[in-house]
Amino acid sequence: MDSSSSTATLRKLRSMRDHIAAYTLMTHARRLSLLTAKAGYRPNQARLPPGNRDGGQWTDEGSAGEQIPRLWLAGDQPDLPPEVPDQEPPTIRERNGWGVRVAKYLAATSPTLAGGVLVEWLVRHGGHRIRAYIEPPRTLQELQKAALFPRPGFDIHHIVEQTPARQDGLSWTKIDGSDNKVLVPTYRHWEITAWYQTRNKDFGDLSPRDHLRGQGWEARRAVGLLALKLFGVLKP
Amino acid sequence: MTKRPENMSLEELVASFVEIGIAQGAAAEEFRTATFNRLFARESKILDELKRRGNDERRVLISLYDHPNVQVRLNAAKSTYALNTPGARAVIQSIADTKFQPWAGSAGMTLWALDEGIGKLD
Repeated sequence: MDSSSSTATLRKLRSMRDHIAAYTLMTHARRLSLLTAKAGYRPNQARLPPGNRDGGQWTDEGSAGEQIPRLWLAGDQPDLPPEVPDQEPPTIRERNGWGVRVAKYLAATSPTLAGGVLVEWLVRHGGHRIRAYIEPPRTLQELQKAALFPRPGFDIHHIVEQTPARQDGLSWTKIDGSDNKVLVPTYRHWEITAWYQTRNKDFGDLSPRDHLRGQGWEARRAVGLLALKLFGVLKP
Repeated sequence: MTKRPENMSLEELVASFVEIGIAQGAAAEEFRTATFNRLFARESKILDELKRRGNDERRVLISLYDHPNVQVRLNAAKSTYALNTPGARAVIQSIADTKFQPWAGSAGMTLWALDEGIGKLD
C-alpha cells in the first residue's frame, strides 16, 4: 500500500469512527428524551421565573462605562436544559460555549430531567467532547495508559504543568515522561487550566500557577493530582 | 463612571460585590481568565474598603451565603472565612459537594489549601 492510499484509508477510518461516536451520542440523547417524555417532562413547559436566573447574567464591567452584551447563560442551574439554538453559531467560541453547557448539564442531571438539548450541529461540533465529559473518573494508571492512545474529545494533560516547569528548569525527561501525562476530557482540561490561571485568595491572591513557581516537582505533582480528582477526572 | 469604593455607601459596596461575582461566574464558565482576573482585582478593592470601615463591615457579606449565584456564594464565603469560619466552611463544602464545575473543583481546592495551611483567608 502506498502512502497516499494508506492516508486515505486512515482518513476513512477516522471518519467512520467519528460517525459512530456521533451516533452513540444521539442514541443516548434520544433515550433521555424518551425517558423524559415518559416522566411527563416538557422542555417548553412554562416555568416560574427562576430566582437564580441571575446565575449567568453578564453584566457591566470595567471602570469607564464599558458595556458588555447582556446574555443569559446556563450559569449554576444545571437542572434546566440549555436552550441550544437550532442554527449553528458563527464563532467557535460560541459553539464551544454551548458544548460545555450541554456537557455540564448531562453530567450534573439525572436522565429524568434531561431532554431537548442536542442538535445536529452540536453533535457534529462537540459530540466527542460532550461524550468524553460525561465519562466517569478513572484511575491514574488508566489515565496514563489512555494517554498513549489519544482519542477525539480528549487532550493530553501534564500533571505537572509543562511550560512553567520547563521555565523553572525542571527535568524535561520528567516533564514529558509517561508518568506525567494523562488523557483527560478536553472540556475538563480547559477547566483545570483555567483554574491554574486565575487569581485566588487561597494562594495569597496569586494564581495557583504563580504560587507554584519555584516549588519542586513533588509539590507541583501533588497539586496536579488533586486538581484531577476535584475536577472529576481522577478516581478519588 | 463607576464610583471609587471609598465613595460608595455600604449598600453600593455590597451591590458591587454581587455584580462582580456574577460577572466572574460568567467568565469562569467561558474560560475567560483575563476577565476573571481583572474582576478579582476589583473585588479585592471592595473588600479592602469594607474591611477598613467600622468593625470590619465584611460581615454584611454573610447574608450572601444563600445567594442564587454560586460564584457570589463562593466569594462571600471566602471573604468572610476569618469572621465566621464554621458558616463559611459549610458554604464552601456545599459547593465542593455539587460536583458542578468549575466551582466544585475550585471550592475543593480552597478547603485543601486551608487544611494544608497554604490559604489563610484573613
